[in-house]
Amino acid sequence: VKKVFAVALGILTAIGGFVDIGDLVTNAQVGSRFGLSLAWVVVLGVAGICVFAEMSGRVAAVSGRATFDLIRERLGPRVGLANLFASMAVTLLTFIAEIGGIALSLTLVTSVHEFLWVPFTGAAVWIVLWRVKFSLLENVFGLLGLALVVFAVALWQLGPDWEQLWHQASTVAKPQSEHWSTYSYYAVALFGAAMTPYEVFFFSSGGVEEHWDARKLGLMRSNVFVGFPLGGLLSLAIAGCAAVTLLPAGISVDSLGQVGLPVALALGKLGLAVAVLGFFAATFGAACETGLSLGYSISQYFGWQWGKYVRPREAARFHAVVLLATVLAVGVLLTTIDPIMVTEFSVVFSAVALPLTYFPILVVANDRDYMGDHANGRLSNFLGSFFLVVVLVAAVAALPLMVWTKMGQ
Amino acid sequence: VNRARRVRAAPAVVLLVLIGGGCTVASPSPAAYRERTALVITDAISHVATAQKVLEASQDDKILGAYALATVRSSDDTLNTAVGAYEELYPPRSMDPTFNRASSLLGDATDLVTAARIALYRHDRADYPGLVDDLEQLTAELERLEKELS
Repeated sequence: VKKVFAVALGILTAIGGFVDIGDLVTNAQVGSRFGLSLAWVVVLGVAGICVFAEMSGRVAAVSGRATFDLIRERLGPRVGLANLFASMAVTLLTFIAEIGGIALSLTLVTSVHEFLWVPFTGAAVWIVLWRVKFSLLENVFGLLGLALVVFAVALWQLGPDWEQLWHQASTVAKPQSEHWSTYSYYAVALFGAAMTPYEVFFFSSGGVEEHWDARKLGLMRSNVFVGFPLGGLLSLAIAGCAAVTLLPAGISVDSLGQVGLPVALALGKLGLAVAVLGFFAATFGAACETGLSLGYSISQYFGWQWGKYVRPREAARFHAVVLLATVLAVGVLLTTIDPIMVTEFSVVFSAVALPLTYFPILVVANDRDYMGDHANGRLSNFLGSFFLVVVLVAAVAALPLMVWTKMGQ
Repeated sequence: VNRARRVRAAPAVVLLVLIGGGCTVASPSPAAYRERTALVITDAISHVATAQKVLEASQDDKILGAYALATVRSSDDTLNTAVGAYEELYPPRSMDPTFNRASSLLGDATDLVTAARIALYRHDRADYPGLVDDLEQLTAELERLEKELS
């Protein structure tokens, strides 16, 4: 019974913890402009993150070492440092977006301006990272994130033409008013939102913290292969709601309030309250994950003591990095930059930075010196190589498309 | 010596010209101006329709008060910024009729979205149906202009 409970809890938290501010905003933006015609990208992105997370989780479980520890060893200190710098810049950008997302969620239930919430949300995130146990943090926000299932209920309640939605999702087409360049830009952004590097840093570092070994591979795989795809369905439900209500009205999403509007129209105040709870949990949970990922990765690279399972005094530099990152994130947001714009940048730059960590993990997962019998098999290698190509194409295309389309205009 | 100085100063001059060029208000070509107008009109449709949907949901008691206000306030802010940036452009003479029509509709859009925000703040429920009608009409006019420009 205990084992079944552990598997169920792992899957539920993986579903609830899958969506973050990038998924919320990008899926709603895409749904409101392209309907479900980019649903294939969500499917591709979810499959990609499953392959990436399974490999890095397996590496963590078998070698007992986390991502940046191995990257430094495999790539050497110089290239590893450049890799760390780029990956952490993107993770910091995502951290800023998540803290901004928490502030936006609170604004929606208080109507107090988001910038007044920013210092408090920053302080709350830091206190949680400092004081709250890892398992509690992971489980509470993961389970509360399940509130976003309300988007699936709302989509059902809106009574869409399912045949038309399926037609949109199953054909590569776009609305006449949109250009193929913007379609491609949003495809890359959606891929970046689904396949964010911090998810893997957090997942594998968490595995090392929880002392995973080869016996835990089954549990890890059930979280990844069941939890993540079900989390991906939440992304599709958000896009579907936007496609059904916002697209016909000519509303293109550029605020968090617009993301939840279809839920209000379908389910009223109660449904909307559940959606806002989901926004809060998803952004708070992701802020904790990105904040920890910054501390984890930098500490792993420099060989410092790190983690939530050791006393803060013993991992002082790890906690100092988390604190500095939080102060920096709050400072950036207090310049009154729009958190939604930061989110848009973060998903595109996630796509740019993804190969930096994906490639070394693929190499290590193939290395029998590290992995022994648990090295990639034929299927893992085929999928790993296929997604390496996809990840590289997305990374190369991201910035030119961003400039060419003026960020999807 | 003078020649060497000039060569050394060249990058600084180029930089100053670039910075200066970046700080001036753009005077786009007719085609570019038309494109910018279409973009700001599309933005306006989005925010006017948002305000309309929020007011309709408020009428039906389907939306939390703070949520409604925050959503329309965000639309109001974003629309004002977009319209402000558009109105800073110098329209080419041949585009004056487009400029006049777009300016008038955009002015109506910002006024109506602001009116919706104030009505929501004051809970003036009696004003909601009138505002919804006005927003709907304005959306139709904005869509007509958008079609003409595309």
